[in-house]
Amino acid sequence: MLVLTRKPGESIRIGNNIIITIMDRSSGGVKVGIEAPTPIPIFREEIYNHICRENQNAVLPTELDSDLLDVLKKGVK
Amino acid sequence: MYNQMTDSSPKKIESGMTQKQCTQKNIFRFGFGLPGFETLQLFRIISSRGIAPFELLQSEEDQRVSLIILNIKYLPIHQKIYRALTIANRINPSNSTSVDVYVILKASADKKKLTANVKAPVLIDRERFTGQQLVLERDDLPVDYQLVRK
Repeated sequence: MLVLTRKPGESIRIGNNIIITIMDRSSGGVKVGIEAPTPIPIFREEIYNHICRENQNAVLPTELDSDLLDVLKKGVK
Repeated sequence: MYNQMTDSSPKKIESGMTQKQCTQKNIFRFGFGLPGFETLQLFRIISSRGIAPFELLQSEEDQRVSLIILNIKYLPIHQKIYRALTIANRINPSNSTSVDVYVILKASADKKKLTANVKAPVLIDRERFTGQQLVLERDDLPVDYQLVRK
């Protein structure tokens, strides 16, 4: 891992279009500003990992059994 | 349609399809993959009258990866999701007719209820044939929004 020391107000550039700026450090955290093109998804790591697990758990079994078809047919609340 | 899913042998293809090829085959390119399946970029949306309004989002590169999805227009909280996407600058209400917003569904272990991940909707651009899953960091949009009554 590349480790860089930055002060509030200083930035790091990744490639030619992503800029990460240290905004502030207070109350045990660091506030980070990120400038990146809109299509680039930006996630907090723990939330990304949570969504990964949710997606993996949502994968259908190779055969749709009748119980699952029944629950699909019951419709939306 | 379901015959494709009952084949347990994975069918892998190259993801280097051109946009024209995606258009012809009605396949959507997820440039960043789906979280949890980052190496898979090409997905097809499969509609079947038997399970409508639900649809399937199936990987073209590994057909074992198939997810139940639902257009958010069928959800009572669809306006809240649209609003969150608009605030996050991910859709433009005045120019978003080609973008459909879906959520991924998950069945409980006993298969008695379905939940929708409304925190991480999937945007499908039917004009550009692209897709992306986003995260809306709002406490009122959970990963397990319940759909079916017990």
